Amino acid sequence: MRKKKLAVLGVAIIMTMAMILTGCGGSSDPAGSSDTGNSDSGSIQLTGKDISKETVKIAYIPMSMQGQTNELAKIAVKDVQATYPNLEIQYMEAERDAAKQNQLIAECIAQDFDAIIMEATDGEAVGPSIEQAEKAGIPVITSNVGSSALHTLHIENSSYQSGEVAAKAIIDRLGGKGNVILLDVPAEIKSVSLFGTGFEDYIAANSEIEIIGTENIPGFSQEEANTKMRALLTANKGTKIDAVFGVADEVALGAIDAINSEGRSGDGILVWGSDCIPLGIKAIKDGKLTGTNFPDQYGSVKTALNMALYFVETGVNSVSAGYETTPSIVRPFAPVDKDNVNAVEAQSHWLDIGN
Amino acid sequence: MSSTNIRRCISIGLVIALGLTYTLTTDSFLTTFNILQLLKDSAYTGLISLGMALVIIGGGIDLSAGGIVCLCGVACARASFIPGVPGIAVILITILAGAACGLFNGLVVTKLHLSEFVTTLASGFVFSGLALITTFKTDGRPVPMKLTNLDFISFGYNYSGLYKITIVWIALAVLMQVVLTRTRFGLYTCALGANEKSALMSGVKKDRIKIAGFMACGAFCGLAAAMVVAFQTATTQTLGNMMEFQAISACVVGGIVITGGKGDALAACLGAFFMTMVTSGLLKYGLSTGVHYLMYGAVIVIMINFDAQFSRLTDGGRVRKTKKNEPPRLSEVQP
Repeated sequence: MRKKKLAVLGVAIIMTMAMILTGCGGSSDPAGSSDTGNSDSGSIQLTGKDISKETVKIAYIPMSMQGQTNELAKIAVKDVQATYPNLEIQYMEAERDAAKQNQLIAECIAQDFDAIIMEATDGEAVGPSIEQAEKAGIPVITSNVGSSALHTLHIENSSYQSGEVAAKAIIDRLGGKGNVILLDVPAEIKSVSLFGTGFEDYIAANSEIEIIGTENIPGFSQEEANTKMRALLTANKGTKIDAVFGVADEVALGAIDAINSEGRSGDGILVWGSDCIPLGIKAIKDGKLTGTNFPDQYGSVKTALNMALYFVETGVNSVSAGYETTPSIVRPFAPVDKDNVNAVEAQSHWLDIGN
Repeated sequence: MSSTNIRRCISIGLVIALGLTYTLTTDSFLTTFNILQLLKDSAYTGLISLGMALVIIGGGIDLSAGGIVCLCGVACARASFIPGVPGIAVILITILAGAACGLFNGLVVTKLHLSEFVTTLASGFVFSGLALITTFKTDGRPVPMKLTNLDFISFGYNYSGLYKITIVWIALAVLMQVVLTRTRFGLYTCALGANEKSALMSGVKKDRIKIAGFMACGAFCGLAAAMVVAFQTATTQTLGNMMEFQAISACVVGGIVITGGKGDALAACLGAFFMTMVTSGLLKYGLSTGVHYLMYGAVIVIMINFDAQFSRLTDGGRVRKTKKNEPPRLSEVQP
């Protein structure tokens, strides 16, 4: 009898659940047109804010707060705050995880932030949350990695283009022929961080250079790059290696460590990085690193902040302005080598934070 | 009042105290939107915690839960692209994929007699690796893929802000509570976790219980993955990242004894909700991620220590002295 009761209870719960989930229990809205507590979907009349008098709260959500380039973002924030003292920024850590970033965007809606500046951890997976924020009247500005969801603005330092810039620099130096190793982004973000893809495509289309080895470097770590590069050097012992592209300066420096520890420093292997962080700049000045790519992260964040303030002041976002596509600003990467490293360092704002 | 009920009252008290603190110190906690979002975020961890609870109560651990979620995310996305497949079938396929991963864990643990810790640690890497290999690719490169099966995507929808994942979580929590406290399977699971040797001598079929526990854990991971993928309309390679630790934390904080033998589904749910509240509250105060981790760790340590002291106080005087090799009576096992 007891068994029967339990079975009936179990079946009842599962049946009720199935009915609700498959739509028999009522109407359903797509994620994004849900009740946000402060908006009706679709027809919001936004009014701007007096940013000189009222507090403006902006969330800054990069893929990860790890890495030195975020220090430049903080400098940019300080400089903008000098002009707009009412600006409050909250930095949020997405841990390169789309589910976490969705949670953070929901938190921004709950706290009624005025704008969100974010680097999407996955252009598709955070789309519903971005749409939800836009419908709640919050302008969303994506930086570097955008989203297919309609939003207010996309500002891009294209990782794909960075790969192309590195490829061009290496092709020019090798005369279009040779053997190259690619130390690429962590495997789990390869779909959204396209340094390696841009590099491979440009090399294939514009040279006879062969990419003889590729490895994904977990966490962009110098130690991991060292380990993986040593393995590649061992695997290609009899092969001439002409150049290495490390998708971040730490990765490139890890490759240099491996080349030195394996006794291949006399082979004249060119090593190119990306990001132009202080360690990379120093390595170029010391003659260890051939070159790197400069993304002007400071400029990008400053542009994003100024645009966010404009949207807050005017009340414009993709919903209120009726956008059909997301407008975008593409900022170029610049190659850096020993000839222009001092000029780029001065422009990069790294000196402002005492590095 | 039994020690389990006292412990549950303490958990509920903690949730209420934390909620009151946030309500009094911030203006964005006690809103319909925020509470519904909290429930949605808790549901993701909570579903995995329900499965993890079953394994932990049975005296085991499953460190592959995150890997299973990741692999199930890919399985789910791939299933959703099968022409004409209804959404419910996609969900069922994903649950089956998760259960299959659990079956693998269970068979390795019971038939090869390997440690659960090592087995699930290794299989977690295997499942994550399989997810990377089988994910959507163009020219050999992983690419984000937006799902287009609207019937399946509707599982990510909500009713006036109440997400379907929340409804599923609450319904399954009730079901699991009944299973753990009112069925022979639940009783045997608790017995196995409390004292394996004695449970075996009492005729409990260890292998069956262990395999069923792992399969259930895998199935819950699959369901959680399907519901999150439906909301996101895409899967990612980071799906499930560190979820095993969040689920274990939720179980421990909710009052499930980490060494097994004691706990229930409600404890896992309360733990998941409490930990989500902690994270949400720290964001409301604008504290940095470093502080989040510190607080997270501190809460776990405090609660484990509290439970040790609490068990000593409540159970210390009531443990029946058993003779050597004498099994405990099953009536003594307290879920």
